[in-house]
Amino acid sequence: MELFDLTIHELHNKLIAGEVSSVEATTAMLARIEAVEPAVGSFITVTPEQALADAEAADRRIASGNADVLTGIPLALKDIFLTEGIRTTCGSRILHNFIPPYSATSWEKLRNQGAVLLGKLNQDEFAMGSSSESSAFGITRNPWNTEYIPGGSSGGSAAAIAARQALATLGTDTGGSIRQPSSHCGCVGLKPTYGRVSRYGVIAYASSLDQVGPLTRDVTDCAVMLGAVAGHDPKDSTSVDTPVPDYTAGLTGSVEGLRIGLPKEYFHDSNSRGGLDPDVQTAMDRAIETYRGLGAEFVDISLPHTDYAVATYYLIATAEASSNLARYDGVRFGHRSEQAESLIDMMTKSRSEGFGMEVKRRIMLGTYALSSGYYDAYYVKAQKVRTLIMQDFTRAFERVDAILTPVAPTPAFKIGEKVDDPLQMYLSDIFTIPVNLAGTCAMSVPAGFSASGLPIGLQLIGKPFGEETILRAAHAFEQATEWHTRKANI
Amino acid sequence: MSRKKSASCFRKVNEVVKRPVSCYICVLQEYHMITEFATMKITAAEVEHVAQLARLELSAEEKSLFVGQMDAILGYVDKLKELSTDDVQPTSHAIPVENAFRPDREAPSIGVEKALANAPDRAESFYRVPKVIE
Repeated sequence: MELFDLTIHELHNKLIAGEVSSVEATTAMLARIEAVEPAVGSFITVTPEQALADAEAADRRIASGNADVLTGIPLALKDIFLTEGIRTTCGSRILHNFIPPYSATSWEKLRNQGAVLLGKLNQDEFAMGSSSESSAFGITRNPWNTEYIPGGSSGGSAAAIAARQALATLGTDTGGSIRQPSSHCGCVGLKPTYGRVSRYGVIAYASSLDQVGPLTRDVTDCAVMLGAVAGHDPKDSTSVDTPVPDYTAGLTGSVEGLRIGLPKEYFHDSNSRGGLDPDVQTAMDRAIETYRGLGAEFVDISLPHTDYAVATYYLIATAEASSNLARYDGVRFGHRSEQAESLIDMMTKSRSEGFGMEVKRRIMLGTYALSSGYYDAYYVKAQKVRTLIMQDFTRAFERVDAILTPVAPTPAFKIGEKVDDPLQMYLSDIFTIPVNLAGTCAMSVPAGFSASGLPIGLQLIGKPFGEETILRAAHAFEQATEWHTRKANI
Repeated sequence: MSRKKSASCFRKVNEVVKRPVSCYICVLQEYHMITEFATMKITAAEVEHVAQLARLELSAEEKSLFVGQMDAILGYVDKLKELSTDDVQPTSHAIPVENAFRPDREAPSIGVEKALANAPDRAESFYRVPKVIE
């Protein structure tokens, strides 16, 4: 086994035992990045000097006996996380020259543990997309088959795990942007409950939906990373002040008596969505059998407003985006047009030159939904339907501890396949979007492969702040299967 | 006829036709609005207006592309009208967020040089922009 194949907990044990140094592990990761990056394109910026300096500091800390679980562990961040002194683009030309003056709280927390930063990962521009094709810095390819998309928007964060370019990464999830690429790349990805992780220093897309979460090789690492970034932050007034449990301690391997809901809308009532891909269906059937064998109980449930989630999301998310992205005006940071004659002209031209097509499209939709005469018909209507979607989950969780669904209706699609049809692209997020609208937590766990060898993930949805339960269920599944041990041949 | 009206008056064609006809003009007007609304959710002029509100300058190709794509997306989101939501409260946040107050204490600020480090143009301790007032 190569150093770059290790999990966090495996490398941590080796570091503590003195079998390997962080500098050695980091050097191996940097070499791996260099070797596979031309084929995959996970990174926007690689930071070798920073990484080696971090690693040297980590080795000193380990030698002094003060190591935390992430000390010396090489990680990478979606380029949406502000990193002081290191360019942060959010995949956009409008931020091509932006060097943040401060860091995101989530990165600060990892850094305080002594984590090593390998670089900043590719993503859809401003996290708007499901395929990582909208980045201004080129596409990312799926390490399992480079003709396919890695998913999005945290496509670089997932591809870097599958290609073993980082031990773990952070992503963000507004409508499925951690879970869908995790599913498509065969890694573990968790979207925590809204408010569980600080978003300070994370570039905003849709503020009532955005949440930070980890992408990892296995469930134990996912629990480690979540525990490291979770918790209240006085700098983010939407972060919640509830205690952070020891997520790894909850991984007992037992799901005996766990009540898991199967929402019929995700499996059967699929006429408006073109149905589930047969390979995805097979993977779900097998997962259900596995859980039955482990002693879990299944309960048929209904989430009756599922079919309205995508429409609701694309009104709320675009409306919030149009407001959040008003800050990119060429005045204080980012791209400024050199063609402008007046202030308004400068703002308009800077934005028009700086934003890509998907971002413009969403700003346009959101501006329309918020504009005079349409506000009630579109934006307020969507907020009301959001209430109905939340109530669906509240009712379901009166009967079950967790909900099992596919992450996506199909495995990864081909590069270029949905670029010209934004609505089809939006509909590929049908199974992940309701969770963001409800504000609860969910994760993707490797659950099989398609006939053509592309990974398939299952989604476990938990109650608000029920991360422990879904992590335990995911861990038990992982113990009983070998999907997570397979490696992309790259 | 304002788009605002057509949006709130949207009804299926057969519902209008089935209704007792009290005023032909009203029905005709509604029918006209419905057909206009049903064929095209958004016009090129509206796309231009929205772009101006969003401070975006669209090329001719972008404009015509957006008319078609926004029309398809707005047509799709119309499915929300199937749901009666008269008695439903809107949700702005998934968790109840009240004003999150913190103690009003002095703390170091980021400082002028750091704040201006990314400025595309500056003069002394200010951001510099094209002239606003002649």
